[in-house]
Amino acid sequence: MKAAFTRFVVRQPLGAAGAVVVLVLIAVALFAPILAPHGPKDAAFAPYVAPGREFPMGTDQLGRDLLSRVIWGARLSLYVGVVSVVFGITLGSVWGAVTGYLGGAADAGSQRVVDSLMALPPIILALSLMAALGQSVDNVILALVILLTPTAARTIRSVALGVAANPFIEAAQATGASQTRIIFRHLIPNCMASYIVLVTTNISYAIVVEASLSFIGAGAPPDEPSWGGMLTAGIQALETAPWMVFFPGLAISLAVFGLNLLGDSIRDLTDPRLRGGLG
Amino acid sequence: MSTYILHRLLLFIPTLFGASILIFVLMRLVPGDIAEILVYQTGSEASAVQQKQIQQIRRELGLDRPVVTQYLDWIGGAVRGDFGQSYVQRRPVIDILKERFPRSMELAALTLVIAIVWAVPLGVVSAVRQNGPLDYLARLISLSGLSLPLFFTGALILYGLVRFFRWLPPLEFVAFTENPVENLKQLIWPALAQAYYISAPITRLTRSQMLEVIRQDYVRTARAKGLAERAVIYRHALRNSLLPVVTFIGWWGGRLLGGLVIMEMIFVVPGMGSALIQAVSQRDYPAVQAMIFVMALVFLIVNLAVDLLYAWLDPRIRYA
Amino acid sequence: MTMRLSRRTRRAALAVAVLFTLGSLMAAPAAAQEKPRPGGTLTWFDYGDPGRLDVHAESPLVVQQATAGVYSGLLHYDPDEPSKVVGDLAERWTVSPDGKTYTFHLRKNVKWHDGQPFSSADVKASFDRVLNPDFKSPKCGASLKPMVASVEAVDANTVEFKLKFAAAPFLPSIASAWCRVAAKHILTKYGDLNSAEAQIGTGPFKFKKYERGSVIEWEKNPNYFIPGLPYVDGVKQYILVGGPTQLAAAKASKIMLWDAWPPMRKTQADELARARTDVDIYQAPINTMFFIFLNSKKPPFDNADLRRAVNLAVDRQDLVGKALEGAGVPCAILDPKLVGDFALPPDEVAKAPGCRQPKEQDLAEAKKLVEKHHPNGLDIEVAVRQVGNYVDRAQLLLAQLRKVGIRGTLKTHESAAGYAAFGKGDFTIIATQDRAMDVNEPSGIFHVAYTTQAGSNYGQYSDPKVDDLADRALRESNRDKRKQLYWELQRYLLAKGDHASVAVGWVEGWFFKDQKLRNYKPGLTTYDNNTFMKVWIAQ
Repeated sequence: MKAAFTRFVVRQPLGAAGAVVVLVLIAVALFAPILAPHGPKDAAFAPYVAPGREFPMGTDQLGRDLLSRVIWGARLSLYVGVVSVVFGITLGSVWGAVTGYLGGAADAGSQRVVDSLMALPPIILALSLMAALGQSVDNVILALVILLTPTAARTIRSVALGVAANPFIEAAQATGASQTRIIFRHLIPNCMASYIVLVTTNISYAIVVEASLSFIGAGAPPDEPSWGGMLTAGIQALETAPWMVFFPGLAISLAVFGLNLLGDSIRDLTDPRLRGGLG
Repeated sequence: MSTYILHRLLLFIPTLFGASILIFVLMRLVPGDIAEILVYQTGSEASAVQQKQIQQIRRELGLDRPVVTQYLDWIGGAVRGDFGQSYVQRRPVIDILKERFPRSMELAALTLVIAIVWAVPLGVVSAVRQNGPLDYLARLISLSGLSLPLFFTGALILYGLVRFFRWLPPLEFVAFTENPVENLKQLIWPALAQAYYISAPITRLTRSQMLEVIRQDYVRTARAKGLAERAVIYRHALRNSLLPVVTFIGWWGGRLLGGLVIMEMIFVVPGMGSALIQAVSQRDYPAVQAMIFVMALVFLIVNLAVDLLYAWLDPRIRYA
Repeated sequence: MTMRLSRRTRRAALAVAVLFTLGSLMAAPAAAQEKPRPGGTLTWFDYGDPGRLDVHAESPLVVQQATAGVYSGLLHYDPDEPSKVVGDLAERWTVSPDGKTYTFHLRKNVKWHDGQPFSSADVKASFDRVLNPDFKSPKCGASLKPMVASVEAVDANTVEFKLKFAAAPFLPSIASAWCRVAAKHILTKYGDLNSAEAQIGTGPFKFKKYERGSVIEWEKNPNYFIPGLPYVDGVKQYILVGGPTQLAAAKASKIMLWDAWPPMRKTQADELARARTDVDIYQAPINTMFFIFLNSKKPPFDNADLRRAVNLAVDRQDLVGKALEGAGVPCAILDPKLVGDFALPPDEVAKAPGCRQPKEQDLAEAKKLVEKHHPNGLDIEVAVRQVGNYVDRAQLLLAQLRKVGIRGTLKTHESAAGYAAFGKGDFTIIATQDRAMDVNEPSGIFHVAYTTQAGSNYGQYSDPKVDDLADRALRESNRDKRKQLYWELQRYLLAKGDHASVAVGWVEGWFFKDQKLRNYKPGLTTYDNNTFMKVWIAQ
């Protein structure tokens, strides 16, 4: 176990660094109530206080402690990112895999639905969904799920098409193996690598998209400690209170870097085509 | 080949229908319509008068008819190029499209060119020097583009230009045909910011495609034949690895029109993205429908063009 | 990429250096000029795209900004002294002894921008349009319709307005920037004033260009009926959406003044002060009231006790201090700075329930009222539109209400569609909604938010005594008696404290103007004095 770990760090130093960041992120998110000195919505202090002893990251325009908000923001970002991605990518992958494998009218019909959804600009789709549903964290997740599902469906579908065309699968079908058996023993494992890649790369995408939605007023409710919301508020006071953008910006960047580097490494490791070095 | 093209073109129709129905329904699910907004936003008139005015406006605009009738009416006009009148601007939507579409297209094209020129070589370098310091550096740089939300990068650019150079990009839009220099002075910044943002997936894909191809047999054969390493890379590996990248860029590029919303807002580019987001917030249904229709059409056309390019470039994939 | 950036950087730096050198060479002979200097282009900005330009039919400030200098009114507020009503197209006017007939004598030899002659027929056509009961005119129409019975053109240069009663607000209302005179032949030709082509007026500037989403331009009217005016050659308004872009434009000297909504925040004003030393930054009232609205038709605020509780619990001084960064007048229902002695004296207002400081007494009373009906506290949805810093204000209010046992969750609305929700009564409490007065007149605020029929009485609260007092004050022509009525009305509202429209304070804001811009005096409402007819730009 330890040997495998050391091998990972040596072979994929960037990935290892990413893993460390992700672990820290998860830890901060989990232990937020203990780590944060104040509540994320307590507007109890003086506004625009510069970072110092009392407020290591300063306070924002309403007098809330930024450190507490950034810490709670980790929890919110991970929650939004993980839940929306897991639901969205899984839903999309199952949809794409099944219709791609089965082919025929089901596939053609579902392709049109996917294309129709993807032809809509994501920002507008998300904005309209949030306006229709109302602004809340759970609705942001729902909107993100709707955004992510078609992409996953399309990607996994092409993998599934490859599997369906595989002569080994045709032989298995010819010898009477049930569809369920084929799906579970061949289709799903083959799609797994792509699925994992989709998940790891899209968590950070979801976090950043939520931030962009905050800018146009369609993200998480403004009193929630969303890093994107903090950035949006912070750019109004960029010069006066640069800490308001510096710390949430740093947090988002680190999260994105960590998640992506880890995801890249996982892909490098699991993609059979890329394993093993040549020269 | 021509049957393939025809087949693909026919598939446009259900997708355009689908997208337009989706947005039609979605717009009617969001609360408020133009009548309510127009009447209630003043709050100066007697409230008894307001109800009457709302009904009148709805009657004038046909919003009191059943939704299905409204849709059929709209789609009937749309296929003939008549997109109706904007509720907000009281002029034909087609005029709004003619004004705004070329500007967004220009910005999208500029963004794509910059992104490709920047991201593809970065991916190549990354693959060729896999796991070396250059690879790490390239991956970190390209990732940094993704790590900050686009609005933030845009706002930072604006702030930086003013703070450190006392200079702001032009606030007035000038068409490229009128004055290319002024035009580019304004558009280069949102293009740079957006290209920086979208370059990461392009770099990553280029890198992984190159890595895959480098290990292929024919590359080994070329090396065995004694061809210089450089020739091996550029003539064989690069050409073949670029195909999926081309598809990806096409897919992404086709969606850029809608993705420019935030950049257009911050850099005061009066394009389709900013018009669309305004139209959505003001419930200008005809304008929203038309712009979505156009964006969907562009998405489909670009996808088709890219797939054709792919088929043409890769002899292994031909459609009878 | 790095090389490309530094090439650009070097070029930009070189450009700056060149410009700076040229600039300082030209500025060398800078003597202080008192005499207005003609020439130059005034640059400023619109906070949004107007879309439609019909000044009679629209209500957003952006429409006013886009068209103000193009038109003239019968009367207007003096650009040199914005609190005075003076003649614009009317040279002089007389009032009948019963106060119900106003006769305006129009200037002669005035021409429209397209060369056609101006006459009383144009005045009649404009006001017939505005006063038409079937024509939606939310600004001019809404203020004139209750007062005016008819408009007649006595002869080519005389117009007569017959009022329904002797209305003191008539002159200030007709001087409003919204009551501009349009051309009869243009109204006939186009049907409305929405398009750029229909912007034909008699004002100091001609409408030159409307590039949607980008810029609006006016150019000097060489045949303006006051010779020598305007001084500037043209006016250019950029359409800038969003604080960061607006502030960047200010810092980069692309705009010469901030005269829009929302005003600058203190942080932005400070940033601007650090970036530019050649600007004057000032605080000014914008004749706008910060309201909280309670829905009196739905629980819990159909209960007068709970409305009283909110009225007591709201810490107006705190809200003005934090949300408006000190730029505002808390508690006052009428602002002495704006309407003079029609307003109650501030020390009397400071003793009213809800305004008393320190706040403990009010909070204790409020808490008791809440507990009486909801011993375990109350959970409500707090609506707010996402505009300006409204959301910040809402969050401050949430914290205040929590102190008396009212637990709120934010429900945000889009900027435009939020109005629809409010108008329909789809809310429990609106955390904040500013209402701007069209005319600087004591009657304004009551007919906007307090009377039963008031257009912004979102809470739909009806108090016959308020209606009665407001109506009598509107019709009272004796100034002293009027003042007594308004004092009685203010006292009544403050003491009773259960109206669904809760006044937090009059809003002021920070603005700036370029020091080179001379003779610019902000109007007493956000809508007036945007014609720039007498401003000039120094060297």
